[in-house]
Amino acid sequence: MTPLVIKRRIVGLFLFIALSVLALGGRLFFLQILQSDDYQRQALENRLREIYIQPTRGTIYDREGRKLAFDISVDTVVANPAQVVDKEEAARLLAGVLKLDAKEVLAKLSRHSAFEWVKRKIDSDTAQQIREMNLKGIYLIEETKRYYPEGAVAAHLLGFAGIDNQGLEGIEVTYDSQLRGSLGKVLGESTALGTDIPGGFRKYIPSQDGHNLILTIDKVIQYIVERELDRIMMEFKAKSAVILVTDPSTGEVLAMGVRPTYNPNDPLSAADNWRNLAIWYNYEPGSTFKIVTAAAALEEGVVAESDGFFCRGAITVSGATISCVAAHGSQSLADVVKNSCNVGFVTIGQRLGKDSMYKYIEGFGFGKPTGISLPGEEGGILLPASQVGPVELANNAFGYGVAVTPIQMITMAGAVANDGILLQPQIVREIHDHEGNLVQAFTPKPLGQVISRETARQLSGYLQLVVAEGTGRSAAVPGYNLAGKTGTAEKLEHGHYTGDKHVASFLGYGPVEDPKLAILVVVDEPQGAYFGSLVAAPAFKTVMAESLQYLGIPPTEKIVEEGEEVYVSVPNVINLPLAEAESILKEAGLGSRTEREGNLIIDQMPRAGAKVEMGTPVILYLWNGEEQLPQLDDNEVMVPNLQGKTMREAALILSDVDLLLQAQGTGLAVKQDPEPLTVVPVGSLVEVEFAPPTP
Amino acid sequence: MFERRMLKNLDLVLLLAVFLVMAIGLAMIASASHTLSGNTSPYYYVKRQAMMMGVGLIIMALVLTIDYHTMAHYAVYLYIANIAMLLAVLLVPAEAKGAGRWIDLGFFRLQPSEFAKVFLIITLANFLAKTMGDMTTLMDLVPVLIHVALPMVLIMAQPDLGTSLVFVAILLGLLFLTGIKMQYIFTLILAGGASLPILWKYLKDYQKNRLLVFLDPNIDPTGSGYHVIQSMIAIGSGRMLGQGFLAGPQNQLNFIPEQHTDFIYSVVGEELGFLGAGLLLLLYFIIIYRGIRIAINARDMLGTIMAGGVVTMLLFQVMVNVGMTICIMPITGLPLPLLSYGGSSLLSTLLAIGLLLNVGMRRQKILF
Repeated sequence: MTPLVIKRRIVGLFLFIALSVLALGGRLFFLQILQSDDYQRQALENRLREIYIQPTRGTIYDREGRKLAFDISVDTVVANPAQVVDKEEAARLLAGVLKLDAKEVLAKLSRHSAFEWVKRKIDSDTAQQIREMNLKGIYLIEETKRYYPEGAVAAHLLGFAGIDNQGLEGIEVTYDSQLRGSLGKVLGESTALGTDIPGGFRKYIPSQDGHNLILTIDKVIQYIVERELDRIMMEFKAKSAVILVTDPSTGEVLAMGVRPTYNPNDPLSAADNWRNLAIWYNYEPGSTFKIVTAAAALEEGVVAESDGFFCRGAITVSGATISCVAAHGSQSLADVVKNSCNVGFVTIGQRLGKDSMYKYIEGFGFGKPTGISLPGEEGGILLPASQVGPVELANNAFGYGVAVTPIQMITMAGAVANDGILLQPQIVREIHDHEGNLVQAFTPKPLGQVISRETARQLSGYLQLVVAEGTGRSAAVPGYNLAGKTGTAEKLEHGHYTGDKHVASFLGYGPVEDPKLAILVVVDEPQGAYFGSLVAAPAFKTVMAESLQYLGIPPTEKIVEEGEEVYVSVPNVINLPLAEAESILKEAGLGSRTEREGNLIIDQMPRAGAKVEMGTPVILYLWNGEEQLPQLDDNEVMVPNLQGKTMREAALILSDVDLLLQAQGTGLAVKQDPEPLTVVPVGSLVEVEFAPPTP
Repeated sequence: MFERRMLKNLDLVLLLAVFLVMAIGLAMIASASHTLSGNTSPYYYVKRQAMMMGVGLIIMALVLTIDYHTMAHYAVYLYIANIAMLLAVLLVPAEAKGAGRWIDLGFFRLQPSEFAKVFLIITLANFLAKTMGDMTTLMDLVPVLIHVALPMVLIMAQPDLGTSLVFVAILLGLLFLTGIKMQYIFTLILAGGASLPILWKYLKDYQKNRLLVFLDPNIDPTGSGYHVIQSMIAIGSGRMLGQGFLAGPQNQLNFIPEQHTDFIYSVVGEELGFLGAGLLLLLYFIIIYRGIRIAINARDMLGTIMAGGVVTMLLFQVMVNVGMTICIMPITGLPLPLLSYGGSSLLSTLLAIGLLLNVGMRRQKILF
């Protein structure tokens, strides 16, 4: 028999066993009876898989319905880790092609989930490589990517969208909620491996595509602005530059160009250039600000047409000497404006007094943001009225001691052009839903009558003299009466005026009789020349001249033929090889400039038929035959018969039906592929062989 | 020496419980494995398991014919064979899930650590039965510790933490049954506890994760915590009566990992409910209870200790495996005796049951 102590021990073991089994049973009871509802719900959630359907983000159009931003389809690599057989091999292959870290890919492939992103939004070549690898459990799904067909054109205004199609900058941010649309989803039961359960629960919620925006921007004017900015940056090696074009009668922004810039298709490569200087940059405006002083003085009646002003070249205010570029001598009010005479404006400012001056500075909207629907707007800087003494007042009168933004300046000029009514700057005309139904239309938003119609007209007259006879002569466009004002401000750094760094600007509008355009050119730290009249006024002139031309606004006066300046009609060169196009343009007396790489011209600006000044460069958009052209829509066309046509004729015929010409040889068309009457998608390439005609 | 009349001492209740557990096991393996891909027949696993049961029962019957005293007599050779077998695994490793635990025999992958448990029970029981009267000081325990440590270290080296923990359980269980002072046992436990931080350093990352996840499965719900979370969902959603045979979504849709081996109990919980899972626990309790009876009624101390060793082993494995599926124990990869799919585990468990029955059959002195 076993000893008693051992027996006790065995009984002890038994008790331990009984307690253990009871503990397990108790735990089972807790899980299966008490908490079963929770676990049943979790089991259902486990096999319910939500597949999200991304909506298409709304398209952004210019005011004429030309696309500025839209979604295109791209491939995204995803994995269902449970289905991947050889995870290490798959990770190694994927990492190689996608340029990822093999360890990270392996970590993703090792997760217990039915869905993992591997790499999103890859290019089509890479997608093809992945497709060919044919790895089990690795899939390509279609996603959309934001595409900006014009690249950097209007980049700061448009902004860009991120990997999840969320707006990150520009109008893509301000109207993100309208553009975005709403996610759809498919709910379904699936196994742990992610395969669908036949006959399982299913639910489908469709996605809602985003609204489309119609901007106030005009793509053609924007092009002109971009081109001028490029020229300014190249010619003056400036630090930065801004050109704004608005319609003063509505407050609509027609063009907004900023340098330095970036390509919204690849924003990360130039992240330092995202800032929209047109609404963010605070600068001392200098003489362009004298418009405000003049407007205030005329409206308050402290000066009269007949008043005389005398300039000795400097004036002393409370011990501080303010000098003028020259001793202007005896001047009328018109002369003071025309000559941009500092002494004269200081005198006018003194007559106005601090309170009246501030009433108009604030009345024109300075010191606070204009409320344009773009993110990151600054409001300029005004000294509190209590800190303004005689010296500060004198400085303000000729545009110092106050900081403004470009958008504020053009808004102010717009008000003078618009008979004294200040309008909020706008960049969106209409919002449409994805089916094209109007959701919201924007109307001009008046912020108040700052000066009377009569004052505005009178001031316009003086500003017209500036362009016609004064400091702004280089801004003049033959045939049109334009109003404007130059500005050359020394930059203030660390509390001292630098003496060698300037902001050159030109602010104006026209035609004076019925202003259609207001234009502001601001150039920061130009090298070489720095006067507004030399740096900014010529750009103003070009943008004004070409835009008036483009808008079809007839000259008010007969064009005085000056030298060889004549206008010519732009010929069509779309679809032609580069060399061919250049010689045609040269023949027509026009220059050319190319955009992008390639040999085939797919677009031109200005378009055929436009009247431009002789020697104007035509921008040629090239295509290298390799990169994917964005398919604008799915329309199909029939290939026309080109037999016996010259290259130019063939090019014209094809561009009429939106096809591209790939020319070979010279002479007359003898062979084409595809054959005539073949139906092909819009934008397809037609290869045509040309041969010299046989006699 | 085998006598027909010993058969009337055969514990039929225990045997019946064993058969019932194995029957439930076959059904559950069928349910858990018929959707697994990779094999042509949906009954591949069931067939193999049934075949192993046949083999196991034959081995069990053979074990019954050999008096446990005879086994103890050859304990030295058994011990040497045990060590040799475990060394063999380390020398000819076949990689499977990060641990080389098998010797591939072609038709069957032998897992020596499973058998090592039973061999240890025999050799340690023999050792303790001979020396227990002399154990008065803590130093007397040293040979016992070495006896266990040698095969245990080899198993840890595979690495197989779970099975080495079974060794610890068997050691503590048998020391307890031999009646040594409780403070010695506590001393051992404290020493073991103190060495844990050192052991931690030698654990593989996945082993550390398993322990951390046991404390909170939600720290890594799609990684290390996945097994436990899915298992609890399966069992919890089983309710009183279960989702029904072949009808548990967690099992059938492969949300439960290793559902025919280590996590077979989750399938029982999901498909057979609280009733089925509770019944199974009751059957294990009956087996263990009958084992206790055999230990208490054994003819001599050797029988008591051997039976106690088998009882301790079964109890520990059931506790750890079932506890793992309901998150009151960390994941150790120990199979559930008689239920989990796996030949070595089944054979060694039946061998152990055979040992138990062997002791029970020979409880009376036989008169010639």
